[in-house]
Amino acid sequence: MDTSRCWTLCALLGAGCYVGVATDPGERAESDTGGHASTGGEDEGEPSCEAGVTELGPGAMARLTRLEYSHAVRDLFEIEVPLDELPDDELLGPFSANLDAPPSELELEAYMDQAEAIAAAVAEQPERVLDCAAEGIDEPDACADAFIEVLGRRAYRRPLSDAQRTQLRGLYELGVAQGGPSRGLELVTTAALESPHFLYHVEIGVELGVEPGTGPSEALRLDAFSLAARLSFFLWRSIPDDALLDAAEHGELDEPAGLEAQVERMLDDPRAARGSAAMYRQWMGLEGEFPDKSSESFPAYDPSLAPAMREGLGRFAAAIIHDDGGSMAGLLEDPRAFVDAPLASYYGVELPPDPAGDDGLHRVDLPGDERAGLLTRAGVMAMHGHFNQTAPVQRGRFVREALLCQPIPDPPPDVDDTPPALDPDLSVRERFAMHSSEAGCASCHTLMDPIGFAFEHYDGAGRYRTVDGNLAVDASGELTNTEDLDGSFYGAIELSERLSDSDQVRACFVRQYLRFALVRPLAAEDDCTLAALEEAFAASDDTVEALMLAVATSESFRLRRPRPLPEESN
Amino acid sequence: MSPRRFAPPHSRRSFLAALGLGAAAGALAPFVPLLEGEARPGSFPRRLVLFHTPNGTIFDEWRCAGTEHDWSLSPMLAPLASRKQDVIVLDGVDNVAIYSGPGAGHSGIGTLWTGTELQEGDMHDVPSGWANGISVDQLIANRLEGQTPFKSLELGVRVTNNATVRSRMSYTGPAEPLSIDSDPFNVFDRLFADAELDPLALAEQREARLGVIAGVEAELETLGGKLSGADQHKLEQHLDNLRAIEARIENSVGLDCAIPSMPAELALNDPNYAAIGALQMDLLTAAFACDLTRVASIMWCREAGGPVFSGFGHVDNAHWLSHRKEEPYMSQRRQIHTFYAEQFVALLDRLAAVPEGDGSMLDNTVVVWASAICESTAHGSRNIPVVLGGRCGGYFETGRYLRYGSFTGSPKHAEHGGRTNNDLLITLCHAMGQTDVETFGNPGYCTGPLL
Repeated sequence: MDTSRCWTLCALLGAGCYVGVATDPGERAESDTGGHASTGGEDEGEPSCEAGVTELGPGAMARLTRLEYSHAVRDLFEIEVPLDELPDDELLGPFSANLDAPPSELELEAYMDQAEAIAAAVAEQPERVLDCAAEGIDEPDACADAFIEVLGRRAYRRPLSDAQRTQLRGLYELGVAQGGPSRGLELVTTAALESPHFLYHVEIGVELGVEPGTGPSEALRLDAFSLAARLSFFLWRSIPDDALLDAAEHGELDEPAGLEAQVERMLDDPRAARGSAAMYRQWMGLEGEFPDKSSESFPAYDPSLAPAMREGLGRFAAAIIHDDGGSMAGLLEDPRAFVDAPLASYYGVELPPDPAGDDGLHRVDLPGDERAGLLTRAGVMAMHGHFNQTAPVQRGRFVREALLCQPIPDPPPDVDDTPPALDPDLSVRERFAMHSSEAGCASCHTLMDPIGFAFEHYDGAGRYRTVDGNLAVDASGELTNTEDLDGSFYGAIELSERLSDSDQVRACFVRQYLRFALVRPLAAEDDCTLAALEEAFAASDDTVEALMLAVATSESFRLRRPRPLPEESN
Repeated sequence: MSPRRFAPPHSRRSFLAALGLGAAAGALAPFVPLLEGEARPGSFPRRLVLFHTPNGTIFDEWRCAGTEHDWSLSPMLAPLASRKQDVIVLDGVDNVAIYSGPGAGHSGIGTLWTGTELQEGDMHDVPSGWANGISVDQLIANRLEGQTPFKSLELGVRVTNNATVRSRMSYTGPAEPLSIDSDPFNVFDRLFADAELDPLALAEQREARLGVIAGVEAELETLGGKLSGADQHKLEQHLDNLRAIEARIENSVGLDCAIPSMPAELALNDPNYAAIGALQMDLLTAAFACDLTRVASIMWCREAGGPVFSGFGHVDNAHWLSHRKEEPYMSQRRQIHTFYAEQFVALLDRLAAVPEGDGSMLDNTVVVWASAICESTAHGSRNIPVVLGGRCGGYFETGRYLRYGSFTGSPKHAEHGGRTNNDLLITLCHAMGQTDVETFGNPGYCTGPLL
């Protein structure tokens, strides 16, 4: 796999707008190359990938995201946590990932409040964790010991240490003195949910001890429990189940066959669909609040459509990946959708007679000449749409960043980036013409606008249209500065077809999956891992579950390189 | 934490209602708890408030006319008329670090209070990382640590969605943004709820919380010892913050001041934007009056965000409007900026209603009103609008209009010889008694205090 292409792109674009697909810009000081991320390693050309040596970029110990926290609580106790009562998430590209900020007092108090509320509910029904009566444990203190063991192992994703056991037992006794055994279990549960072993992705590893220059000298090889947690958070966005912890405890994850068997089992579990749905909602930018829409410009749009747009997109991705065993092309081209009645009407399709799924959504097929795959979903278009008009710049930038892995910088200061005023007699391209006529704008905008124009059949709120003002829609588009996609095309469906047969998009898919899986920015050191995964992905005809398996069983997935402390600037 | 003089829990008094009535303000005199050594008349703690409003201003209508002492308020600042003698308008301050390093425009909220460039990074729609240093409020809060139960309060009005550079403004260090509390009910609970609990229940809750916290602290210490670099540092910060919470719980036996009253409920949505802001300003004032903290900030919505001001009959959100130059949008922009000026005055009025010695809390406070950008249609970060309110213990001689440099307001804002926000940050440190601070943020942008 030729990974030198990105450096060619950097050079192509000159001063105004750099575009690279190399390291994530988050790498800055930690990266060996040190300087600007998109130029890192530009003289190196193709990486020399030696068998048996795995280089990798550094990563920080991340705190659970809102979604991970809520999934974990659901899997621990079958209790639902309101997401908006948990701390806001940081972002790693499009994905939620709490890598940098230490939890503030405010956030710690939010965790305390949640822990106390959850623990109170658990104390009322301790069988949510362990049914002592069914297990034949009658004596309250023995029940507490067993409760502590089971909860601790699940919540901390590894067996308790003696110190942890003693500490939780002490809290149980404090609670018993305050109000009896139920209060004791309440304090145990509270403490478990406030522990760093619950709140962080704690990864314990042993040093590899290789000589500098022959391998990742600071890398740690994860122990089996850390690997199990990485697997479950990658595939399920949640904690391991007992079966996975047992496999770790019995050494099964240390054997390739055992590891693969667990990954296969996990991909078949409904939690994998939940995890994939979350990933694609984030990747396609649908996790945030939908922007306000003008009711004058978009009378059919209603903010109440947003949840079905968001959930339906996740469900679509999960269905392609896990129900069909589908491919990247399926994600980008399949016209099926999952909708409720208002969203069906918005798409202009009939609801089928068969009942809805558990999420209240029905499977329908959207008109094949109007919609294809992820990019053409109403939700994706509405999210990447202005208040009262389409947003070719944002849509082009979204494709460039999400699927081509070519980040675009902010416009420079002092640029008037007011969207042009609406004019029913001017086409959107005429209104945005300044972007290509002014040299200062053109260097970036030629990378975005001609892709964004291809989405002109979807209005700013995601509805299909054939006229724009007084003019027929012209959705012709053009790709430039790509590895293998340059050329003109018409409309988002043809764009999606081209993207689904591109090495650059395949490489970007792999990159997005790897950073989602590792929860860290990728660095130049990760290039060999990426190249190997691209090969595996291509060899599977782009089957997404095959990529997930390849990522989960890769050597990088077992390794961790702690991030050094950044230098203080003050 | 130094010892505070705590009284038994007070019966709930309607402090804020009294503030609102104004005439009753005199009855509030004994509310400020005096610390050791501060009992003599005229000696009151100084306080700092960062007051951020998004999306710049309408620059041509913001610039005032006149000279330092003989000047008139501009149309955008007209609501300040009743407080003209209590403010200093600073014209010519550049939010300069955003011009180097990643990010631009609205992301300058990350450089505004830190004076540092942003780090490289990728926050999806914001191609940058966090600010690379501590913000001015946190440096001052660190210096004052231990004197009040809360080092600082970060309040927000509809600061929602992800934690990105545009939705944060305070930093405890490089890439260490502080979260913002946009829920006044939560703010109330943090500040005052314990004082409303039955003493027995409170004692039991305290015992349990302290027990849990002690266990978590032991876990953090053990785990931190096994980690290195940034991971270890993160757990140290976690531990420090937990210890601060622990200290508050240990000392929480009541407040020697009145507790504000809250409405039964208020939906946290755009239509209630002004009402949420009013509650946050009430709580901020009460927190100062009870000496729960001396450093606070209030962020009116994220940069590049904006509610729909439906109360004015707007149907478009404020950020979208901020990019329009034609009617009816210009008039709507004026309404929005006038609204924010009125909120600034409303905060000054609240502070002025709390008597301290012969004067009021406004005499001992500085409220810094700023936006990350200047003219909202152009995203320039030179000549950002800055207004200081209050005298901060006599440091500021107010009632002045100061203009630096030769900024013309043209769309291409070249260097104009203005002053940097770094110098403003140094000024704030000095005003708050931290006169040893010679540079703030990137030293290359520092020449010394403005005032």
